[in-house]
Amino acid sequence: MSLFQGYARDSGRAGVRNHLLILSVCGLNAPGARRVAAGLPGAVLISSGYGRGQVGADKGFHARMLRAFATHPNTGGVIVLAPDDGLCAQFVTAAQEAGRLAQGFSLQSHGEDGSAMATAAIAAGRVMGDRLAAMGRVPCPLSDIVIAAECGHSDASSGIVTNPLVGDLLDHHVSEGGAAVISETLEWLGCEPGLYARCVRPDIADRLRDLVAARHAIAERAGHDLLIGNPGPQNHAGGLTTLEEKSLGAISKAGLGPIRGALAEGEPVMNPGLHLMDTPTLSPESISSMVAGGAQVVCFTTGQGNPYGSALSPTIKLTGNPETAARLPGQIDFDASPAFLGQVDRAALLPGLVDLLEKVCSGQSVAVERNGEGDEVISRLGPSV
Amino acid sequence: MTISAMQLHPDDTVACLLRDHRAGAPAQLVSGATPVLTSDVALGHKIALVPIAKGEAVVKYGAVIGHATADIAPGDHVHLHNLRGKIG
Repeated sequence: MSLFQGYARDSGRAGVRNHLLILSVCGLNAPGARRVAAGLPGAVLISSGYGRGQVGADKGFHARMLRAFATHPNTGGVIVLAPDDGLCAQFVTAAQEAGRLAQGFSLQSHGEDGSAMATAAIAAGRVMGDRLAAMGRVPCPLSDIVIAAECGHSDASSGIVTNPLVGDLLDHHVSEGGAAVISETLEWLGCEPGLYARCVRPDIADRLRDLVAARHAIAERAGHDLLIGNPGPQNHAGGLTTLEEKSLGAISKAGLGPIRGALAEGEPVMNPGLHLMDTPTLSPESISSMVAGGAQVVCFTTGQGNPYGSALSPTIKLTGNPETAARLPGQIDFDASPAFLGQVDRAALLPGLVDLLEKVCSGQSVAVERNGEGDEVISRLGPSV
Repeated sequence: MTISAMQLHPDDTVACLLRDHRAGAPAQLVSGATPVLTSDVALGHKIALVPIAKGEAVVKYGAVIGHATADIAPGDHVHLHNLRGKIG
């Protein structure tokens, strides 16, 4: 069994980080949350701009996502910021029940004074941060890891080399008992029948079909024809001919294995194996949804470059484009361009990528962490009242 | 020898070029030489590895990416002029 040095949790999967999380669950606290983050270097800030007046599915989703961040394997402790004590307690309790350190600070309990709330939260955060830093890593099974795969600002190198390489990694990881998830529903366009055929059970294929249909219906209601201009002139110039081909290039980052789960946005990855999650296409929404689903590490391929990553889960940035690798050495964690240049077979790159994954899970930093380019966002599923 | 083309799946009937190629010479796969290219073909574009008759499926990533709209000979550039997808 392959191991990494991680943080064992009382319940659920092991973490690859032991973050102090500042979780601001309502937009009323957002400015104060930024002050708290400035006072706690190294802490991860997740701040919602909403949290009041949300209704129906949107309200439930917003709360589930915040709870998922508070109880994420990479979260060691959480400072909850909320306007009132009741809301604060919901998330503090959830985090404590998952075995995390947690303390809440509300505007209500600080006389509606944002500065007083921030001062108290910073003081408590320093103590909590010290406790988290004192916790040691222990050997944990790599099969505990859920890898999320994402692509952004893609070019010809993505579909030919980098996405298939990440697919190789996911196939390898799943063969060792791990779990993986890919998302971005509209990027599957034209390849869905092949995905349904890869599902291990008919009910999983049916669920995937329903999720895809619902996402397409959103586009249709908004008057978007997903097929017009797709692939576009840039795709054609780069050598892509058909939409099926473009989509196959995107989903090649899922590897070739069977699909063992079809998940709604942000839904937890409960089992080993490959999962597909229905999400919007924008990377912040897509990645945060997979992180909320439990992914402790992200593999993010890019053609032309893309600084963005997850705040909670180290995001390994890969490119197969040699010019991008040379232009952005401070952004690219794994240079797959030797395969695009024909210097090595793609298969020769896999051991190095597996090694990097193990090192990142064991604490080696990635560029997104060094550059402070991580964030988490929560999709809106409907308007507020 | 430098690899200059990639067959992404063993079932594929096309290969992707890893650099610009001139007509009259083959590209180099890991598994050996491709058919001789019948025209200049740019990086990222596809060439046929086998004869593909009009109406037949074109396979890349081990899956059907569309059907030939004309007879395609080994070494031919495969693109908008001779390949159409089902939906786009």
